[in-house]
Amino acid sequence: MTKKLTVSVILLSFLVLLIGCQDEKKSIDSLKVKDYGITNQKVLADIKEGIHQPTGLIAGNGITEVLVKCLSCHSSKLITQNRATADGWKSMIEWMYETQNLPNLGESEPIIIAYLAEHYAPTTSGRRKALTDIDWYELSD
Amino acid sequence: MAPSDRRNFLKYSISGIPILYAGFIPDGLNLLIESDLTLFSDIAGKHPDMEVLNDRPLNAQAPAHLLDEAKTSKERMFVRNNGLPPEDIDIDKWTLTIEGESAVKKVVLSLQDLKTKFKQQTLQLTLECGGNGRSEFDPPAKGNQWSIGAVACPEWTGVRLKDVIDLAGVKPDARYIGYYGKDKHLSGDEDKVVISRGVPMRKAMESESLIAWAMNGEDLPHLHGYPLRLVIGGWPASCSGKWIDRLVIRNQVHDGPKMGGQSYRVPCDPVAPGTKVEDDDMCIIESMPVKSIITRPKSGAVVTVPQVKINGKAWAGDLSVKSVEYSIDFGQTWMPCQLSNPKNRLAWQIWESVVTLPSEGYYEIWARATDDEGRAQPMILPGWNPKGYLNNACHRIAVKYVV
Repeated sequence: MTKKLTVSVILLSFLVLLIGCQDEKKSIDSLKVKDYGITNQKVLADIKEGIHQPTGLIAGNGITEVLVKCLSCHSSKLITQNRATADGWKSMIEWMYETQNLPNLGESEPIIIAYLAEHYAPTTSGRRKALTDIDWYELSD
Repeated sequence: MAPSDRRNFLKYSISGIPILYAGFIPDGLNLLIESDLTLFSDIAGKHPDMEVLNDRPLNAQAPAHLLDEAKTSKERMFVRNNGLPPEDIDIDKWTLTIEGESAVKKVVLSLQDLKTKFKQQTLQLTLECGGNGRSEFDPPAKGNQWSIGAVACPEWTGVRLKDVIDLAGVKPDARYIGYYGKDKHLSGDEDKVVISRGVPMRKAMESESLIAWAMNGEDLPHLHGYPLRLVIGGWPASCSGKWIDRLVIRNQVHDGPKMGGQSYRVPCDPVAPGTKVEDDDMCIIESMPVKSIITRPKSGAVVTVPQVKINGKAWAGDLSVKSVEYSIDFGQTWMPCQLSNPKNRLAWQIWESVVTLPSEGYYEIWARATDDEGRAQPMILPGWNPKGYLNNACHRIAVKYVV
């Protein structure tokens, strides 16, 4: 019974959204769409200087799928603090399928992996990095 | 906003649809993303300088200088949650069940039973996340990118795990204990176990392995396992289950979530950086390696006199620390530090010294501890492993001497 109700609510919301989106599409910032490949009005409005401000995610094609499919379960910080190749991100998603109840991402999977591999690719750091971002202060005993 | 509030908000606010699983969202639906995905950086009850690595699930570490206290206070203790802490905890109804195929009988104890029927113990015990230091791995390792501060040494009060196990009785084939806690899985699945790890019987039966209800003389903080947790000092902190309501005595290596696969395991034989290692070739981490941190001064000190007082902490898993040295010339020469004895076995040790800088300029002060079996910390990242565990490379701070 509850399930039926939930499904109805979802379908109804879907319709409302479809109608709602017609108006919003007119006001989409065409420059941002071109730059980031993002068409969602709300997501676009939250982007400043290439960063989706609420989540800290880098703006780019596929961010909407990440916001909807990844962040309904975990924080964006799990993404922004990690770096991996497409294979590495794929293996993390597969781990979530196998052990964390992540439902199949379907067509969104390659979009999400491409987004992650492009914006959160590994960099080489060697065996020990130089100390950086040192916040100098006066020490007096 | 507290993590729990935020979770509830998230569940119901996106377009008013209750979202329990990402899979409920019809494919291709262009949802309007509300601003409820905003990250938070302050955790109620924590020091404002704690670094939040992940806010769902919550993971936060202390910068090294916050760990200058002899006993880590609750405001400065790192948080490593795998799921969401339980809510609406009724301590009068909370019980701990001890059972399993290698238990002679099943025992159910209330908190009151635990506090009154066993001898109470108070010990300072070091807990360090197995992935502390992961951020330095190259190629990068997956997971929370801990730098140095996923370690703490508060004082715990509880009873010996051994005494509780003995009440249930142990069959001769017993090999391992495992814990189950009441934290909730991120997916919202009420029946899904978040994490259930454990330790071999020999570690469980040590005098310092505790079932604790208090930290630094107060009830456990909610984030740290209230009302009941395990404290297995010196081993990856994931062995020290939080919000526990069940212990199992197993006739095999415990097989709960995050015991198998690649979790809390390193290659049984060393591998080259970046190697893909099969699950069967990964071995469970037991004791953590020797390590030290410089907790004073905070990195970035500019001094106008050549003498700089330094101090810090050192620990060595199941072992004790034999010596701590410092270097101001990148390891060409090492000078000894004064090292205290641990308050009790498996507590960290406090060390101190006074550095004399020879001339103006930029220096790095490096610290290096050696355990009582002669193993010292490496200056570079030790053996690469796929999940980025056990980085015990020397900690260092930057200091500038100006006249």
